Formats: sequence, C-alpha cells, structure tokens
Amino acid sequence: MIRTRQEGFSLPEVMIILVILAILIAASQIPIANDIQLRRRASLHSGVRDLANWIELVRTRAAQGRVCTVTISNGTVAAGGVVASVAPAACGANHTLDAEVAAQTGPLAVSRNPATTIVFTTDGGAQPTSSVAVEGFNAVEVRLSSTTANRRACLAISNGTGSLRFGSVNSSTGTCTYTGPF
Amino acid sequence: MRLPRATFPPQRPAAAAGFTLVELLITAVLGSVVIGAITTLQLSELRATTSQDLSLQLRQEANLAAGWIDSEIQRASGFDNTVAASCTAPAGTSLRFSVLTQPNSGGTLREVSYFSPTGTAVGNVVRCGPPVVCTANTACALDLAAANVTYLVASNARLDVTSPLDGTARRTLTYTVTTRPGVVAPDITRQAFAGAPGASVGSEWEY
Repeated sequence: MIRTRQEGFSLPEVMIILVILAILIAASQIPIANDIQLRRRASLHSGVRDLANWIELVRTRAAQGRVCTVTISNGTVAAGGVVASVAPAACGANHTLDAEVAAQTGPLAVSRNPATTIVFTTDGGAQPTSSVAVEGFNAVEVRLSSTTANRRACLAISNGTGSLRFGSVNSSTGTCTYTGPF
Repeated sequence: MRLPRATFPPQRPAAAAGFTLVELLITAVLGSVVIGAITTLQLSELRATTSQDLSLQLRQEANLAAGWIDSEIQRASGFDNTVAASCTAPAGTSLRFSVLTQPNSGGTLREVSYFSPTGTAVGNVVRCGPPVVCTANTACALDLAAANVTYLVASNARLDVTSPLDGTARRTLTYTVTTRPGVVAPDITRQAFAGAPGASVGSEWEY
C-alpha cells in the first residue's frame, strides 16, 4: 500500500543521524588534529634545515679563503627576523626566519648554548670560542622552539669539523635528543 | 504519535519532499570517505617532501665529512694504522686509518686517527689528533705543539678504507664515506694520494 509520507523526519530518525554524524566527526577530527600538528613540526624542522643550509653557504664562502664569524640570535624571532648574522659582508647576508615557516610555527624562541660566536675557517671547519658537550662531543647547540608546535628543534654545530647534527624534543623547553632521522 | 514504518526500498510519491534515513546515511558515509581520502593524500604528500629533504641532508653530510677528510689529507705525508698518542677508539668504533703529518721544516711527526663504527654499523665518525688552528685570512694548520683533541666528523655515518692498512706507512688511501646506508644518499668514494712533505697531493672523486 502506498501512502503519502509525512514531510520531515521523526524524532528517532533525527537522533540516529545526529549520533552517526557525531561519531564520524569525532573519528575524522583525530587525524586532522594530528595532521595540523605534523605540519607545524615539519615547518619547525624545515626552519632548522634552512639554518643548516645557510651555514653550508657560509662554510663555502669561508672555504674560498676568508674567515666568517657567525652570531646566532638570542630571543624571540618573528617572520623576517634575524636568526643568525654573519660578518664580514663578503660572507653573505644574514639568515632570517622564513615567513611560511613562521606562519605554521608562530614566532620562534631562538637560543644558543653556550653564548658564543662561531668562526668558520678556511678549511671548512668551525671554531666556536667556547663549546659544551652535546651527546658526547663538543659543539654549539642552536635551539629553535615553538610553543604553537609544542616542539623544540636543535642544530648542533661540532667544534673543529663543524659537522651538523639535528635533534628535537616534544616540548618547547626540553633537552633535544639526536638519535634517529630528523 | 504513530511512526511511519520504514520500508526498503523506500516507497513514496514523487511529489513528497525531504530525504529518507537511508539516503542520509549513504550521504554521510560517502562524505566521510571523501574527507578521509583527501586527508590521506595530503599526509602522503607531506611524507614525500620529508623524504626528499632527508636525501639532500644525507648528501650534504657525506660531502661535508669527505671535504673535511680531504683537507686533512692535504696536510698528510702518509698513512698508517697506528693510533695517535693518547687517543683511544670511542666505544663501538675502531681505527680506520691514521694520517701522518710532518711539518715541512721537520720536527715531530704527529698522527691524526680516524675512527668509525665497528663492522657494518653506522654511527659517529671521530677524529683524534692535533687541533686545527686558523688565523684570520690565512690557511688553517695543525697546532703540532698542542695535545690531541677529539672532533666529531659525522654522525649517522661510517668511514671505510678499500685496502686495509697493514702496519707499514703508505702513500695512497682510498676511503668511502657512507651516510645511513640503505636510505637514499649515494656513498662517496675518494682516493687520496699523500706525497712527501711539500710534494703535490691529489684526490679523486667518485660517486
């Protein structure tokens, strides 16, 4: 028998739909939230890689026969702000925080341990005026911290050879570990 | 209140407005599948970028280590397998070669030892020898009067010599720097020739 249905939904129908939608939305929010956090962290890491690439440029300039002195900033750096500066001018331009990185991570807290300048030498090495032990080897540790991403990413510049190590920690104030891929 | 009985397939006159429960359910499921697919696509794109970055990073690391060893070898007068005085192999590593260095003016022979993870392991490549001192706008040199110091040459890497040293000093050395084997970066192989002090020194690159 075909009869005319009433327009609209009954209460149980609406309730079922609401429950199903709620479950679907809840389930899909978890990966989306992870995705956002993953992007923020990936941006923070690429901020550190940008710094490492800039250091490689300074190293190349130094290897051309001049001594380049790098000073890492200490404090909060917003998009376009100076993360690290180099002297003399022949060694290149200062390194600034990329706007795309800052858009994901927010302003970064930049610090270095110990407070020192790093001299890049003509043979491609690095000689900081002082250094601390970073997982067993003397280095200067540069830390970029983002409270938005709740993460700190570190770059350890080894004393002598200037080899670079990448580390990170799931906290904007913790101690970086340097094991595993960055 | 009387509820209409659900029938499948839903029977209703063409003129009746609104969706049935089944239609809404199908829409909800299709919607979630589409959203899920888009999220997965974006995530895999992100992972691909990360892998590309890693490849570049590993190549840089290997080049950097090889560049350092090359500049060390340019100061060399030969190679042997004697560990430099007061240097010990860090845990888990063993000696690969020592670079013999002798100032052109004569003086004390010093050695610079290179250690790499034992066997086929990957880890820290370490150098132990006199410190390198650079003065403004001049070439860097070993401070042959200073005590030996330890430098980290590369992490997540290994260093190998193609023909192991056998106790006698040699003039040539072929070494390989590997960064995280099995990932993406190629090994870097170089052959270095060390001459007598003051003689020409060369190095060949091979990828």
